[in-house]
Amino acid sequence: MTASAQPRQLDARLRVSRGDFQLEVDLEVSGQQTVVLLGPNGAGKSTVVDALAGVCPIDAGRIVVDGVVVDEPATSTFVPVRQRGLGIVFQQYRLFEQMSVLDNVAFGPSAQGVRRAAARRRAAEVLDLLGATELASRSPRDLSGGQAQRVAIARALAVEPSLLVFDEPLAALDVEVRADLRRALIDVSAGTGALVITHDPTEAFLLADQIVVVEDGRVTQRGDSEAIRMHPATPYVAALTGTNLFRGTAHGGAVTLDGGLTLHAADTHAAGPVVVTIDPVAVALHQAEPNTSARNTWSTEVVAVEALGERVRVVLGEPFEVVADVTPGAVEALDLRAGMTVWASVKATELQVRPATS
Amino acid sequence: MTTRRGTEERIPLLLGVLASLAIALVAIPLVGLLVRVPWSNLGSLLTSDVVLDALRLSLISSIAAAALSTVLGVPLAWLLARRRFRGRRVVRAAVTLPMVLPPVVGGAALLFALGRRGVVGEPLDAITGIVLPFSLAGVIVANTFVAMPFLVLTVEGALTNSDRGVEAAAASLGASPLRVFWKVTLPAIAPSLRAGMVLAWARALGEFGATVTFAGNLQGRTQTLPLAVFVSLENDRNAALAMSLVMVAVSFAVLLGLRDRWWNNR
Repeated sequence: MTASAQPRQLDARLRVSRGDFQLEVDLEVSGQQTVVLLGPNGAGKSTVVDALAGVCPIDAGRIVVDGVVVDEPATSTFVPVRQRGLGIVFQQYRLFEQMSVLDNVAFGPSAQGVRRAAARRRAAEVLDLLGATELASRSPRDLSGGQAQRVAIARALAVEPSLLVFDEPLAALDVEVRADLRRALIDVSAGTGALVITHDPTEAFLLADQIVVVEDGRVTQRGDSEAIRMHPATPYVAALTGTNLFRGTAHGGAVTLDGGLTLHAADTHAAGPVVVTIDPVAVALHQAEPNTSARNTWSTEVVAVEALGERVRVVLGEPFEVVADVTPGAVEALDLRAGMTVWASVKATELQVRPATS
Repeated sequence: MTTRRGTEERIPLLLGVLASLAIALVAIPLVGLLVRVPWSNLGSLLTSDVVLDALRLSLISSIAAAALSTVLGVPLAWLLARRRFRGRRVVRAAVTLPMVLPPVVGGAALLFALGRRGVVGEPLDAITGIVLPFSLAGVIVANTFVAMPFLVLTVEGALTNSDRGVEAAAASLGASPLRVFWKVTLPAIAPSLRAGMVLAWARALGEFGATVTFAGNLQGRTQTLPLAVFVSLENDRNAALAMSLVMVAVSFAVLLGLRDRWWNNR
């Protein structure tokens, strides 16, 4: 079985009008990719979920799941969500509280005609896959947020969907359990391909093979994390995705980045693989080696200077790529131009260090 | 009105007096009943033919009415709560009308519609041979007529407040609408459904006006407990008291059982 011979898991041209709001979003998921739909509240993300889930039929365009047209107004095609082959993991889990965890997961197979015993066997397998076997006999009411989300993922996975759809999968969870669940999410998505809907740029960077940014019902940019982070197409994307993100290994207050550079962090507890994020606003630029209390300073080359609304984004090159957001006044004062050498500094307290997923 | 000095905890005199009167209004008749109950020969009174017949008929008809109200009323409540259709408000008003309507009027309406010469009753008799008035089936129909609104309103309220998202999740997993209703919606509203069933049953158990008008008062065929109490007041006061005691006890038990649902455990 070759990936190229298979149809795309999702090929959607979504056109929805709701009063003043117009949604015009094209989405494709193919080759077991994880595509992240990233946008702020009110951008139309939930309309996209509603359209895929058949709650809100589209007004024009079409939705094709695994080669099957499931919604196309032009041909009056509308397949109810139960026959769309989607595994949807909803916001707020939406577990069936009157059933055990095992029966929650067995619900899908049962609904599709699998006999009770076989459905429960399948449910047990999927729970095992997600490391949630010990939850099987529990009531959903007694689960923590992370456990409930694990069960919700298992439940969606049990129907062997053509595509997994995650609606804000990690938003409601504590930071400590996020890394765990992100790991589970990546694992299960690898087999099927996934569409993840989120407003959190950090999650988007960590999960996505491809990011699609929606603003006010329209796609404003699409590309991989690198492209979007380094070349934001609109001021909004810049603000949304303007986070410097690196992977590295933490050891007692210092983080050695995968590129070999070591940074100082205020967080002395983190150890092992971590993800470090630095807000571009926290990166200060200087003409000469700065006499500052900031513990991380380095000399670097300006790669690009781009005006972004009221701020200016400065892309820095070797020894490691960082973006800095400065005021137009600072650009003038430092006479910043591409190709020149500057000094950059970041306070240790500005390094956000989180345990890495992989 | 005078303003009284005093601590906040003290109950204002006016409110205290009126509330006490309210309690008295409810309690005095009950006490009057309990004082008069012939406790010594209660056993023999409750096992007389009239009482046993009435007990049996009341049990059968009230349980049947509660069951019929559930089977018909739950789908109706679902329709009212979940689907927008023309005339929905009218349907809801019509369905709850029996709660407001004098039961005698309801019984009369049933008689005109389902009676031997009624609009529906006549063809029903001609085609199936079923005659509702003055039969146990008639009692059940009359009881259902007055009792079903309690179930419909209770279940509709629960359905309106229940989480639609869970149903959407069930549908996305491949469940048909009927399966979603049966496996997800109903279990989620089970406590309210139980409360609605008990309310409908209790209303049916106490039904008098519609029953006597539509089904008559035939001992052993249509004479339920309330009817038997009414008749016995004329000729056998002790039997009336004994049966009244049974109904008070049952009603009280029902209310105690429902209090968690109605008064939120305060």
